[in-house]
Amino acid sequence: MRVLLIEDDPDLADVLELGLQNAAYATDVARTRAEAEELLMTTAYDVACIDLGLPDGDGLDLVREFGHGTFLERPNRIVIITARDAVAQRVAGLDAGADDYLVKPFAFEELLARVRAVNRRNDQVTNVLTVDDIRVDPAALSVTRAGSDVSLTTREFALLRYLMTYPGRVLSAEELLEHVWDRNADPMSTSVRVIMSRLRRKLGEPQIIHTVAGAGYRIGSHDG
Amino acid sequence: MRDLVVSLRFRLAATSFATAYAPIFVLLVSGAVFSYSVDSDVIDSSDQTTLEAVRVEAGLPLIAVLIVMGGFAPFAAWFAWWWSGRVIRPLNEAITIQERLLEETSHELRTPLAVLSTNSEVLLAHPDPTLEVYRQGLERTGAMTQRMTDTIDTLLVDARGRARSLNKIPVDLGTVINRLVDSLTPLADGGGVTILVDAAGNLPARVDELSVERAISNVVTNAIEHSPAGGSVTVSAQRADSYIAVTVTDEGPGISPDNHNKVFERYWQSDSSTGSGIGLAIVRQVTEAHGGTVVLRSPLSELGGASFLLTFKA
Repeated sequence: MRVLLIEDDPDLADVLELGLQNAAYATDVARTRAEAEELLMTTAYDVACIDLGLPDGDGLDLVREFGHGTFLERPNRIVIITARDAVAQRVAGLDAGADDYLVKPFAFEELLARVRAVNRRNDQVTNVLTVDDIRVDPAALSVTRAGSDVSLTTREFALLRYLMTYPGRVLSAEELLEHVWDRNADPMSTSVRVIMSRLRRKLGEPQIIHTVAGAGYRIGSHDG
Repeated sequence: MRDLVVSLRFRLAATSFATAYAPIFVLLVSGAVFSYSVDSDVIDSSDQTTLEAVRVEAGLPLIAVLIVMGGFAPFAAWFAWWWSGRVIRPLNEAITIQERLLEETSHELRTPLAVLSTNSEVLLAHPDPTLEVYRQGLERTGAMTQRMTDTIDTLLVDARGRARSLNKIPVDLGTVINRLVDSLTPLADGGGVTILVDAAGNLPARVDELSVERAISNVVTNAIEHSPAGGSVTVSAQRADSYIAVTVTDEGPGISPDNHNKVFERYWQSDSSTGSGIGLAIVRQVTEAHGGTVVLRSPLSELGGASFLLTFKA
């Protein structure tokens, strides 16, 4: 999952970035609206956490802009994080197109829970992702296969979680690079292949992640 | 609090109305008592006739007064209501300031509180903590505590300025400035900035020392934060007629003329600013509350630079 954090306060941005990275989210930080727009021109984010009071404009205008055929890539989900706590302001934020609204100060655990909730697939009843005998719990950052724990690094976990969010769908290496790595990733690198092979090894046999020649990777024992 | 003020206004209005109309009630009551006591003293028909004549003579003016005063009752009630509104107006203004202070304090404290709570949660849940990670976390905690303290101090000075509850006493501004510069020198040293002072010791003025010190401190701190390493900030003060003029000059990037008015607006921040966004708004408020002004000149050269001239009535 790739997260765009738009927050002008450097201390809050630093600590949120650290927390999101620890929770296996590839996180890019923008301190201004202009910086955010630059990132949104080229990257399709899974989630954007947007502070409203930005030095060069109102974050709410940016949220509204997504709904008006803008040249910016609309993040899949939008969570507003702000100090504005009045009911009218919450209503305005949600009506502008945000999926959720969180008032500062908040518990970081709650922000993570909300990010998980807005990303839940339509067919998901809980946040736990299941494909065949693999079970991924994004809240506990745990993975089991056939009931046995599988120990993964943060990046491997992020890759598996993204694959399991779209079971049966063929995901290209570029798409995986865009959604699992942050903006510091080298697009020419073999990172996806290297992490994928480590992940496959750790998940063991029978192989559940399949290579689709010339197209990418697909998780699941059946064609989706 | 507002309910209490409304209740107080009702009571004030009712009391003033009752006080103004008390003479009528006295007349009514005394008239009735007088009439009863005379009735009981009637002996024969000639007394009865005399009594009727006295009643007519005394009663007519009394009725006229009652009618006139009765006619004025709605006007008097309106006047009592208006007067009570005027009396409680300062109370309402004080409550408005207090409410706004509370609102602004909570707004300003939300972000540092969010940093503190997230910081501890993230550090405790860190999968691979190192001493460096913990050190950075503790530094963040210290910085946020200082920021919250500064925010509360700033907002309190701001509220006092708005409430016009300035305690103006004779103060030597030269001493205030030298003391202030001493306290800001560590901040300047940290950024490789030199502070130069040109403030003679004897600059007496009747000012609210805390507010004026805060205003000058805001400008000097701003100048230090925007100065490049190796740059200097000059603080000078002198008497000009009945005013004390304090000038703070820096060698920072300068402020675009488009933003000259905006810098004094509440919550306006430049891209590079990390403050609360009300520092310069307070400067303007404090100078104006002391019968002075604040004037910004920038850029001072092609390289930038800014100069703030603060005046205070001596």
